[in-house]
Amino acid sequence: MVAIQVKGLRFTYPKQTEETIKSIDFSVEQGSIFGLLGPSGAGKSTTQKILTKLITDYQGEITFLGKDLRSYKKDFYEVVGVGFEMPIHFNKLTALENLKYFAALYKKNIDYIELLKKVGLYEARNQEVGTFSKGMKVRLNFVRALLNDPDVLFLDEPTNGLDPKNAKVMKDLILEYQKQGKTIIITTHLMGDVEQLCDQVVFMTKGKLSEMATPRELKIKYGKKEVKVEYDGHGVTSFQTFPLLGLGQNHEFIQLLQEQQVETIHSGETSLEEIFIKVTGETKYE
Amino acid sequence: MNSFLHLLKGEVLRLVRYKIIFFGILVSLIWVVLIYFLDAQTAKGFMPFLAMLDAGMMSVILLGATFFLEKQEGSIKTLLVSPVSLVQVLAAKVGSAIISAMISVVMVLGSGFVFHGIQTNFLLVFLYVFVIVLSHTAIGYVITLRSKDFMSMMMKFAGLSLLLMIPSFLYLLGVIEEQLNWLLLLSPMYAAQYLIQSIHSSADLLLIVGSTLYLALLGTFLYGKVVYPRFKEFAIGG
Repeated sequence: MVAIQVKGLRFTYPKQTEETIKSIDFSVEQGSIFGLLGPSGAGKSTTQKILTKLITDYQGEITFLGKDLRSYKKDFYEVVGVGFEMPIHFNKLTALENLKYFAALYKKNIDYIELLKKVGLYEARNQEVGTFSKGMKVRLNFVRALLNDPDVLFLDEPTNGLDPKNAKVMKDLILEYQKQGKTIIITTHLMGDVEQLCDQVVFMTKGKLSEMATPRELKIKYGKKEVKVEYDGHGVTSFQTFPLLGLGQNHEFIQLLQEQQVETIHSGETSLEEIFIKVTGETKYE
Repeated sequence: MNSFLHLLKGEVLRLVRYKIIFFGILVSLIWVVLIYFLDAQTAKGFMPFLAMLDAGMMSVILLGATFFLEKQEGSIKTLLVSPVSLVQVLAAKVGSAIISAMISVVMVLGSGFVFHGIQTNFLLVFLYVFVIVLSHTAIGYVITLRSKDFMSMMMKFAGLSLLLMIPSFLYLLGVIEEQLNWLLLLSPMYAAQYLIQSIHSSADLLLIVGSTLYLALLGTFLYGKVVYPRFKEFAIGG
């Protein structure tokens, strides 16, 4: 079942002549984790603002959980959670005061005390948010985004600024949330996160979609269909490459395995970073 | 309604935590001391000006300061992705500004009663503070939504204040004749001062009603036609 269906989406900022979003189409499956990727200025933040109704004067059709996005009023935010990248809390209030304040705006709430414990912020719950480190604020952002137990969760750079241990905790929580049948849309520049989390990925470049596939499909499409074998060639590391096609019947390959001391074998699988650069033509990504 | 009350409570809590109410009370205490040392007649003439400063000018400055602070914190953005309407968000901000202004105005006018026995109709004060804060915060938002930061907002506000004082100067210089003095009320600051003044001194009923309606309509118009359509775009940008 489709959670979000976008057809012919166009948007131009006021006082600008060029379109920021140039007729894009994509769909997000319910219960999936969807990655929105692209270089700075590609239009992904604008797309996310449109999908979260922060921008409403767009052209095109967006169907959200079976209804026209435009038909939703403030009740839209009862089923949607938005986690921004930047800090979004009242600095002079404690973590708990912030959560209580925002939680009271929703009809239903999750057990945010339990979630605070899971993300390792329970001990700091009575501390002013202004004294938090960036990593703590990122984790608090995540808890706030989940306050209303949303059906669709938008996360912007959910692990940016976190140490590997806390990043793993967050990724595990995201995957746990997905298992409950929730849909998650992630904007990130961390390709490791994309590989570990996303079921489907969209690359945006200059307001257009340049690629849409699963991470696996992308790797197959952009990867070299070959195997590189490194072996000890009389005290010197040597290597040979073989085409993947018909590898099992490749006598030269089999002979090398049998006769040489193999050190490493690598497939020509390319990383998502390399795919990003190939697809978007950018050396830096956001 | 519940969401509005919750938002209002939050706004007031933040005014307390960010020490905005504390500094407002501190400034009012200075006025209280000043009123104590004035004689009854001078205090009566001076109090409306002080009350206008607190309810009008200060509410614009506090609004600008809190807006840019909240924009920096990103907390406005968070409210915009919560199940509350923009009208409720703005109404809560106006409500908290009214509460803050009322504390100061009550302190100023109350000290007039305590030290000099100057009687005040606080129901009228509430009505006047309501329209004064409504119109002045609307003007504050119009300037804020056209400014990059708090400093540029303050510069624009200072420029506007000077511009709005021109009719008063022209009146003092005799350029505007006595029978045209109602023109001065077109300046929201002057209209605010006139309303507060009317509580203790004799005033033209027509001008009182006109000033009240003018400030109420000006505030409503600016909120509806200028602030509301631009607020969201400005709050989520940069």
